[in-house]
Amino acid sequence: MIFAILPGLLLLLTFHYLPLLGNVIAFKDFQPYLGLVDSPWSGLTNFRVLVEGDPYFLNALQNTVVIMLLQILVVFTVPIALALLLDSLISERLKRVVQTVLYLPHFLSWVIVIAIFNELLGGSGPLNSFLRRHDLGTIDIVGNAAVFKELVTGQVLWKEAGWAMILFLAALSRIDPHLYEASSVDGAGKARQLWHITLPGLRSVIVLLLILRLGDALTVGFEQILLQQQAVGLGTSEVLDTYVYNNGVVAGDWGVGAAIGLVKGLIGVVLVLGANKVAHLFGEPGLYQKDPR
Amino acid sequence: MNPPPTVTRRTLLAGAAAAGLLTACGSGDANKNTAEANQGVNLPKYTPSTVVKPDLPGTPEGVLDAFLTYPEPPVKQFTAAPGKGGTVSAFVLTGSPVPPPKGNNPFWQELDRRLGVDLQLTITPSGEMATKFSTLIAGDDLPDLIVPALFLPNGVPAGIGNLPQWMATKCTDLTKFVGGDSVKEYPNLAAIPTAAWRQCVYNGGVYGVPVPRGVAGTLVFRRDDVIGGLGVDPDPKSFTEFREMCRKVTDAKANRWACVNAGMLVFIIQQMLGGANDWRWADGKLVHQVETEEFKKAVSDAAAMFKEGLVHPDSFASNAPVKRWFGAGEALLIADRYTAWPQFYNENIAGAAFAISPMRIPTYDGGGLAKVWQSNAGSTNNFTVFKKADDGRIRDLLKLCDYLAAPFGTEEYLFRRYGQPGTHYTMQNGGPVPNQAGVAQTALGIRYIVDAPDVIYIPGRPEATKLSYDYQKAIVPDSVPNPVVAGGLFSDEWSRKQPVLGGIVSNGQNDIIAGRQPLSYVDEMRAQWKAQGGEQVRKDFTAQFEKLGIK
Repeated sequence: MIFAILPGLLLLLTFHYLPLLGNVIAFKDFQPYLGLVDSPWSGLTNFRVLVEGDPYFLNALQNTVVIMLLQILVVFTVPIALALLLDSLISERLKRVVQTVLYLPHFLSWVIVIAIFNELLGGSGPLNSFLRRHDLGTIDIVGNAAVFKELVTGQVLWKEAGWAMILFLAALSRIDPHLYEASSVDGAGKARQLWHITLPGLRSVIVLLLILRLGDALTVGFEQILLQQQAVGLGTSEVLDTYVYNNGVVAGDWGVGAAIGLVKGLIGVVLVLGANKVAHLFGEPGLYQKDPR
Repeated sequence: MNPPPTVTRRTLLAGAAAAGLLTACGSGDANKNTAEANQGVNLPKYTPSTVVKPDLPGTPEGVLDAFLTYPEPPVKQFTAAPGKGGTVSAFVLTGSPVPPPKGNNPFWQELDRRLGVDLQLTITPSGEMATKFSTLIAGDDLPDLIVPALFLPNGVPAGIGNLPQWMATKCTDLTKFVGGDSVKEYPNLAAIPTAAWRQCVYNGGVYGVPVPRGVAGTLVFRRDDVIGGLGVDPDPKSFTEFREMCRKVTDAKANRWACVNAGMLVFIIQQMLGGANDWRWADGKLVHQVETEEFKKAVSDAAAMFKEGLVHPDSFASNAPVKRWFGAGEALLIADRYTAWPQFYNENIAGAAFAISPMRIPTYDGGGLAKVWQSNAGSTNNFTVFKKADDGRIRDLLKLCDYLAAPFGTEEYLFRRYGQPGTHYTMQNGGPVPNQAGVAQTALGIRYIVDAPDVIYIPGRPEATKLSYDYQKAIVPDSVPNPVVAGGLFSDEWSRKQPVLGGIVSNGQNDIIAGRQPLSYVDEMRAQWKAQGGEQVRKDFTAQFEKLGIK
């Protein structure tokens, strides 16, 4: 038994716990050529950017929060709706085909997803070429700062909604069909069944996933955004993760990058603990709970 | 115009050290990278190669030798393999797709055989170079030969603060092996120009072998076949005529735009206006490009042209496939280095009709041609450092480098660049034209370990070689150098802050051109640029200009 756990444990230790020690950089003026040990200590100076309200940092924070809200609102709810729709299909075969088509984009990397979006919707892509040839005026989607956040959310939706739906489908299949039969006998319509049987049946899964999602709520798609940042400028596209990358790795201010990463992690912990507490208040088991005894 | 003979940009590190910059970031070690130490370095004695005579000779000002055909038969320089067996490891970069691993790579296997060693390469795409290099340093498991990362993915120079200290503790001072006449033991290394060696001087010694390049930098390539076909005059005489030409060749309905991106417009309009090549040193005042009126004017004109639709609409995307657009005729003007020439011929879809030439930039108001900016990188692409090792090992490695620096015209160069006939290329029109296997397998990045002096040579295209040579000959004599590079100056603040400062300029410029910020945002960019370190850099460099008495 212990041997079966070992590889996973090693992986966890090596790639998740060991790198935690690197957070010490947040308290140092880290210089790669000097190394971790020889770089001088700098106390809390790296955290100044957080406290003093550097405008670029605040801009990144604001963008992050807006995208986070959009994603929780849209990207979290759409898969539930999709699962309900799919569940209502009668033909098993059609169900499978639709499910496969919906979750396939999950396996594409962001580079490819963005290339597809750029090629199709870009200024010289088929959509705009068609419009231009017919003198219909072009639609500026890719590279338009005004709709960047919506575009990003749309991309996540296309790529991940089908995949996220699978868990909800599994939960749906576990709802006792007798409940539906009994309720129809009592004269409940589709809407009442949805409200009184289906959604309560999904509630614990929804709460569980929401709590997990909150843990990295501030992570709003580093690779996805970085790849499109140049096209729309930093004003609308800089989020915490890209701020850390642009200022920490690219500009060589490793300490500040690590400091922000650390604070971001702490916020994630607080959000998870808080959400779990709220879940308990509503009588849900949540992510974990104290031994009921 | 040319750098003063005895001073290098590293020699002036003393200025930076005096300002307390280096001492502040060092860990208390005695700093050996001082002006005094670097000034007296015994640089390798230059002995030009006499292996072949160029068809079109270069000039001392920096025009490169040009060859219309590959010398036939190629000169065989080495009779025995330079290596003595064993393994040699190297950390290199590549700008091409990463090649197949040794097991599937006949070129690499043959290279091993000819070198007489088992060459283990860590090939890093240039985009990831800076991060991989940091990781390599942090891991401290160093290969024999290391190409330090000097540039970031966006082309902005990487921060190299503290690089000298790292080299002092981990790398070999090569001075006693290659300084002065000792370099004669490695004739191909001796044929590398002194200016290139200067860029390898740190800590009072020669700390690397250079990859030399010509001073002619970025030029504007023009699709003559398409522009000619449209009956448009390809040689505008002023900015107004240039814009008119762009309007005439643009037809968005046919998916055709004049320029690949707006960045190239800022680049050429500044040259039309006589703007600063990165820095301007005049009347005892040092001014950075972003602070000049020429920059603001160029951004303003570029923004107007972008708004008018004369630029490819997807050009702001990261990694926009600009070369593909140029090859496909979606955009008719592109700014690139002279080294891009062969690639354009290899990768276009126009076939035999494909014709390109360098465009001469007119002055803004007409009346003559603009002075062209020299390459900002100076005369070196990069250099390679040697991990600390015993003298015998260093000599063996230098012997290997001597082989890898075999000049144009040799059999060794032909193999190193193009592989083996039949397998990797076919001789056409007096030149090796690579096939797909050749392009893929030869991209090992060994040309970034060390290289012979660059030449102008476009395989199988003597007429293109001639065009490239004529262009260099025309522009080099009164080309404009970056005064900081030409003066050989060094500022630790500059080397650390270039990524940040470069980012402020490029992001701000894009914001204005794309219409996200008004033109007045330039003032904010200037303020930020100064506050984030620009002012300090100016102080460092100004002190050095004054000390050197450069007017």
